[in-house]
Amino acid sequence: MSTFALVDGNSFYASCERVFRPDLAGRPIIVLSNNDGCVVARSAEAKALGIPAFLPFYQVQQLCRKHRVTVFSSNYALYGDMSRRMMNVLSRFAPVQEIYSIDECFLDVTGITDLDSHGHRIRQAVWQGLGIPTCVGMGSSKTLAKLANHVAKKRPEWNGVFEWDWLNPREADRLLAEFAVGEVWGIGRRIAEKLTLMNIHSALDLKQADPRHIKRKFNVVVERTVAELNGVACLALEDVAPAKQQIISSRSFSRLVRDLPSLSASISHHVARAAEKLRAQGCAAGLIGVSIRTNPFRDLGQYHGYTCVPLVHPSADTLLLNQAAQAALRAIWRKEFSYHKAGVILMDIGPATRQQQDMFSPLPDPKRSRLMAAIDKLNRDFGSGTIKLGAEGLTEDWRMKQEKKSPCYTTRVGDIVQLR
Amino acid sequence: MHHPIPLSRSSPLRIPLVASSVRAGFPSPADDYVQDNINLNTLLVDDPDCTFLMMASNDAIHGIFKGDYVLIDKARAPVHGNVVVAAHEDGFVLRRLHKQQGMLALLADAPGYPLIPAEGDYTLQIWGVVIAVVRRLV
Repeated sequence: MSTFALVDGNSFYASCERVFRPDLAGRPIIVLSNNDGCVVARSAEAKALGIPAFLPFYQVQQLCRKHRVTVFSSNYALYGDMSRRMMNVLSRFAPVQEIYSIDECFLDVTGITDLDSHGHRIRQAVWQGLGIPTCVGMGSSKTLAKLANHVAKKRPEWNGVFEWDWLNPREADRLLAEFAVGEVWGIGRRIAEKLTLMNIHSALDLKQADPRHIKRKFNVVVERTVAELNGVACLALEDVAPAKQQIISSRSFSRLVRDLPSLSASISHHVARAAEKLRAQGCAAGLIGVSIRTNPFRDLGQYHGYTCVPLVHPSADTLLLNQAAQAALRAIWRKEFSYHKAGVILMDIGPATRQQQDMFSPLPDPKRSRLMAAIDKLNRDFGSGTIKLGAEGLTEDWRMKQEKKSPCYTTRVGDIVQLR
Repeated sequence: MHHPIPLSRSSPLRIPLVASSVRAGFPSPADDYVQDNINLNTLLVDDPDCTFLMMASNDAIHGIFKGDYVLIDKARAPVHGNVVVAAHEDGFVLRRLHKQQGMLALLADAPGYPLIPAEGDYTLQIWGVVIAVVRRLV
């Protein structure tokens, strides 16, 4: 039988800020989205003050002042680097790792005998080595591991580590009954609403539902979720919801490329291709990763640059995605290397409609979606690449408002901590 | 993301152990003995994922000067005598850890720096152990 662990950083962005601001231990922290628009992350203390997520900052500004909440603009260079470090540390604890988002990954911990102490060792390694608090949830399927992680996070009595096998079946069911069906991994709002109409309200109800009935009413994905809740692993670490969870576009160059403009053009090209696929699925991406690498078979300096940039609002807009990708490229490009391959990965992919629930700051211009649809149609009708991004889409007009940004402590020499 | 992407490491600085500096004529027979490179990162850093760079801004510790880069291994368990980085007041200090005979405190090697004791309800918040110092001369 397989065992999976889902490890994630608690209030990840806020925790990253706190690593370099020990004076903020135990103090409320919030992190704002691009342009200081809305609240995207809250420390536990800020959540306890009742500051809601995704509200425009101006609506909570007074509350923040009153409770002396420390406010940060988002510092993706810092979060990206701390994420990279955390994922590397976590990879030491299992033979197979699947990085699921900037702050969480699955580990295959099948065959490890003492999962309790393994889980605590994982937490300890990330806490001691990086100063980031984490929670570890374990179960015999990825869906159960995800739920176990919620338990580890919300029930302090488990000290941040929880595995379903520690409970007898009756206790496990009682706990499952406390989760709304919409909290189950992969059960979106619309499916949850439909399930509620079928009198399936909790995770336990879904576990006990007739899989064939679920398959008829929904699809094989929801049927698989039922099996996963029953402890049958249907999703391996490699095949999370095929085609939908990530889209990759990458290619090797015909000759080595050194300069930034050429790399930049190639990244734009990959963004355009990936975004077209994304729109064809009716989806939007919340995270874009950019990767550039040298040729491992050439006797030249070796380098693999990778970073990912979260988008405030999931988007399928080529121009927006490209702006994020270009910022990521500038962060990882090193002028001393010759590059062999470049690519982009779209992650955190969900239905394009989900934007609306998270969005309080201005919605993307609907004209832009029509523009994207028109571009896709022209490219379909007249051949790929008929309409491309112009150079103006690639360059520097992306200046974010970031008034409260912390230093890039780990990625910029001029920003490192001065010791007294 | 399906496969863990091998995330970027800082670019290795490669210095050939043996290399001929004569470019003209025959290659030096010593070139046959080039076996490896010295990589300053691996020489100075044990655990790159948990190692951070900070800068000294005073001369509190012998051998470390203002403006020196210090490499801090956050995963390493501090022991008596280690130079450590600790959270103090609203910033970080560079001090030597004293942990002997029931006394726990942070000390400077140089005079003029008050001892930071771990007493009462104040515990030392050791952030990491300094494992190396980097200083450019020119």
